[in-house]
Amino acid sequence: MTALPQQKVELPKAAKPPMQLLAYAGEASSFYVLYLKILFLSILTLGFYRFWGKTNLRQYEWSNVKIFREPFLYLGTGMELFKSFVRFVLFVILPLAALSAAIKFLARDNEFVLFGASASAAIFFFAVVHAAKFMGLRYRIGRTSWRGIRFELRGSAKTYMKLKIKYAILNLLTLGLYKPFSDVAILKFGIEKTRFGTQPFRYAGTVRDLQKAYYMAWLLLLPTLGFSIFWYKAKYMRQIAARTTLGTLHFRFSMGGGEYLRFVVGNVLMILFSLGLAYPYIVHRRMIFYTTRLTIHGAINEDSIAQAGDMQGSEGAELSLGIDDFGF
Amino acid sequence: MTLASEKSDQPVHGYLLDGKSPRKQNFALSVNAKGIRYALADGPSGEWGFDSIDWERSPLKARPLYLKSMTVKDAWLVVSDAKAVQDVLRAQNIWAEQNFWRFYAAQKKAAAYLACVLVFFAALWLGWPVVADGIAAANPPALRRYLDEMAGAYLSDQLICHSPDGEKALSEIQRRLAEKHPDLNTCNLVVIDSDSVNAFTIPGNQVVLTNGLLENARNGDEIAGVLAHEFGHVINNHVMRGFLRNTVPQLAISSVWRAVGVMPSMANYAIDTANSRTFERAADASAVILLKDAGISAEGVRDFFARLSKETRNSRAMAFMSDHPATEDRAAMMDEAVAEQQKTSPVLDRSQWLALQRICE
Repeated sequence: MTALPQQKVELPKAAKPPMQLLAYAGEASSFYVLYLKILFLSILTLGFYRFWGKTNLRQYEWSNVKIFREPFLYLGTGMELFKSFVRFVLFVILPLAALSAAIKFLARDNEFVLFGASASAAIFFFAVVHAAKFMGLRYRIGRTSWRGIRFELRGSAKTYMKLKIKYAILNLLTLGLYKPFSDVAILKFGIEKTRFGTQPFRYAGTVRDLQKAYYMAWLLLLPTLGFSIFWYKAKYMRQIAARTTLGTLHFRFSMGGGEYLRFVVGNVLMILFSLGLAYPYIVHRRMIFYTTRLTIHGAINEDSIAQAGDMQGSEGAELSLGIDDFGF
Repeated sequence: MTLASEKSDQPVHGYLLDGKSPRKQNFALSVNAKGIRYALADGPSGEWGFDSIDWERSPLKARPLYLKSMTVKDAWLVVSDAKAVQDVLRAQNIWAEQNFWRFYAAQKKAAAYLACVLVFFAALWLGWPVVADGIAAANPPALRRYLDEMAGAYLSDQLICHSPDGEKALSEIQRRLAEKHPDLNTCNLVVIDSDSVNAFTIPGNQVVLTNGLLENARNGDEIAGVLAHEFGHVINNHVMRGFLRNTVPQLAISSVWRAVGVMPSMANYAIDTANSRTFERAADASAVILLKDAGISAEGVRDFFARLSKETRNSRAMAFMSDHPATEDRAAMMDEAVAEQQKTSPVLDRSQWLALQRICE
């Protein structure tokens, strides 16, 4: 039996989708000068310039990130941040401070009431922090545009807050073993509520994607003094990118756990040894770090995207709590 | 008139983002008396009036200029040659380089908000002490009980000195000072075993002296002077007034400032110091009257305060002087009191003074 002559078959190569790198064009020196100017004006105005300063920093960061050679634009204003801060102080901080003082004063002999009040305050604070984080994110996303089309985060802060409380309790009860489930659920909530104009983001992540990395990190938590969590965090970020799509666009994020650990430790050391003066450089370094590792695959289908006519959510201005950022 | 780039003399190009789709639409710009006109490469033209043009105020230098229309939502004209357009807008008095003063002039609403905030704090600073004093004058029983409990909790943590002869000597000073002010007999005097040189009044009309203070004093008249000063705080209800004056603004300021991000401790320190100085002056004035009425020389307290103010570098003396700032006014007041006093007698004899000094042994 003779062997059939082997034919070398040239399979048509799958059309490789074009790949785009995010580009960050900011310069450490100009960012540092801007930061110092804002710091100076903040001190001069007893801290009140920070809302406008924060806006300036965001404008700088946003408009220096380019994709398809077009920068993002940050459309928020300092006035919006300032107004939201005033509202927050008037309707949340001052009533809470008064309530807390009244409870401490009126129920000073009743330890049961005092304990109840402290526990309620802790839960309320946890809820407010997460609601504020969500509202801050919703504001920042809603104030971001690219090629004139705005991004949008829908969904309510109340639902997000409920999810966070529910998963905090479940994670507490399971000593953290529930975390891959809660992470995926929260990501699904956040990503699928995000849109670019009329085009929604989709998230196809599953618990299976994360559980191996998480349980390995969980087991090694004590032997590695907690550092194993960096490998999980890296996997978590890679998974977000790999499982998220926007129309025909796909994303990839390439970062290893060790790389992430070196990055974070480097930042901490720089902050410590510079007594905080390296903060602007760290922001710059962070922008470079993330933008050079995120790639976007596919071509944007301009015909399938339009400005959303029923924008919602982005109007709620950010609660300027300073919890999702440090410094400014 | 077609807008030309200064460098190449070519028409200024760019692209329109119409705010409806992410598609770029290339154009060439021209300018007329009313505004900027763009002619799309593959479509119609449009015009944005000068009065409706704004631009993205990003703090970036080398980048295309993003012009936005105040009438067409989310639409942008992205112009590659920023300078040519800036010159046109500058000629129309629309373009202004950003600087701090222009920024604030443009932010009238922000200035109004800032003014409201400053007025609020000014009102708090000036008006609250009057309100607080009014509340303290009414002596609300619930607040009094609360403060008494605080004082009780403080004393329960201290080592209190007891010695029959020492306590007798202390009572003698109190008796002399209270001769013409019988209300002061209800005050409770406590000596605590502490090295710091300090005396203070706590709620419940209780005056606390430290062992360090007794060790640093040279005679009973000096202690009588310090006690007269503390009784001045009692007479003027400074404890409750101080609590009310300090607590509410500090609570408001720390809540607000913590959220803004500026350290609240500086503001708290300013409030404390301001109230403290007012109260100390009032207590000094009362002390002068008490010493005069009791026929006790004010020389003792004058010398004692003067000596402590010289020794403030000594950490033990710091505690008292930090709350009781020595000023020229204070020295002048004491000198005047000494000059006015005619007949005085020592408040304690030698043995009583020694017994008082050994109260903690």
